[in-house]
Amino acid sequence: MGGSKPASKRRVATVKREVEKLIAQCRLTVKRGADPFQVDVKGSLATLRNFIELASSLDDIRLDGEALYNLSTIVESQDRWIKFRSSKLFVDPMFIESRVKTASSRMLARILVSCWTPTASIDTLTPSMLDLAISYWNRLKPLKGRWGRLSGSSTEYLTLSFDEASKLGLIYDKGFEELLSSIEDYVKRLLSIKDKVEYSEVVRGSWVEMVTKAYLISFLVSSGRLGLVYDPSTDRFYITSYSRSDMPRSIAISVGVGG
Amino acid sequence: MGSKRDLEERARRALQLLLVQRHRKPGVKGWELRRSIGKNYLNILEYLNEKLDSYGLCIRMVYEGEETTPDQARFLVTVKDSIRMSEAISAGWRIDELAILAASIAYIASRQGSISSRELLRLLEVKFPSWFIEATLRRLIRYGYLERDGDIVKIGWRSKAEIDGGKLLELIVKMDVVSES
Repeated sequence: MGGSKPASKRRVATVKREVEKLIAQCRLTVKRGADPFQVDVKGSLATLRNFIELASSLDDIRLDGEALYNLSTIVESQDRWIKFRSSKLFVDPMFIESRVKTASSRMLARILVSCWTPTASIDTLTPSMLDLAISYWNRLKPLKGRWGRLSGSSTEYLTLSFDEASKLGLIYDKGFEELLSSIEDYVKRLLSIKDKVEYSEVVRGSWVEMVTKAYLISFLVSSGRLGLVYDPSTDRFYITSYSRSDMPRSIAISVGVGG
Repeated sequence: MGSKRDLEERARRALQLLLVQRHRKPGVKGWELRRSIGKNYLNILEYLNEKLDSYGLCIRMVYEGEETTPDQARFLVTVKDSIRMSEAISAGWRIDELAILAASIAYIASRQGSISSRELLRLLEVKFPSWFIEATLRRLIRYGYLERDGDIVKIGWRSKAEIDGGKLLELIVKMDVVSES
């Protein structure tokens, strides 16, 4: 008799889990519009009968009620499912799927348009919006005042050739990976001589060169191809080889003309 | 209801309410019409509908969710006959977007009105890149053509109002894929 109590408790727990699973299954079936006949209503009712016989608390009874309600929604879905399948509107989803897959976009669009009657509506300007617009207009400074910072009265449009754009540094004449590799090789050559290289030494050059190198190095450091350390005693940044022990963090380095 | 003049006046007010878009969604709720033009608003809408018919427009009533009474339904004016492809394109729609809408509605309708978004994506990914599908679905959901409830995608209130689902399914079933492609 002493061993039967824990065994009974275990049984209640098992059945309870089954009931909870049943509730979840019912809800999912109804929500997804899946085939409600996949739920074994008869078997589930037998489980519930078993559960109510073992029920010992108010919570168990509440759970039983919830499961019964969810089962009833399945029965309702089964009714709807049969009505839908026997209606004129029913078309096998698999068939629709295959038609959609084989039809062209233009054909599908044309079909949609032939059964589409769009809504007619008017976007309107209300008196309060007009009021807002008038006060904005009154507060708006003349164009001259707002554009005073810009020199010249007219804007001319020029066309840049590929070489000119390349000279100005607006476009690169090499591929991005090529540029990355060249600077990586350069830094690695320096690192073969000493443990760390000062950041400002590497990026030194004209303004365009410096920004380009800074961008490439940030890319190499972010992707783990190089490392970057900060020495607070000298307030300088150094490029090193990448170490897995480095803690990933974001570093902002300001660069000026001339490094 | 009063005189003919009163009827005309109420119909005019109803048309303004129906056409002027005051919120994000077009149209107006039944209870708003009741408040503005009186409890006989359904009769007035019927009268207005007859008038609009000659201009190729009609009034539609659509239930957005589980509502069951006209007061809770949304009323809007739609064109009576279907439009031309060129008109749809000039209204800002791309052919691919229309194709996605057609495929989604047909597939969802064949599945009793709701499917998981994963299933819908699986179908559409056969024809379109996923970034385009996601952007288009977002747009369709924003406009009310589709609805998303967690992982589930449903036919939106706007599709119910504007698109003849039965005809769409029929045309998809009957379409001549071989000659078209």
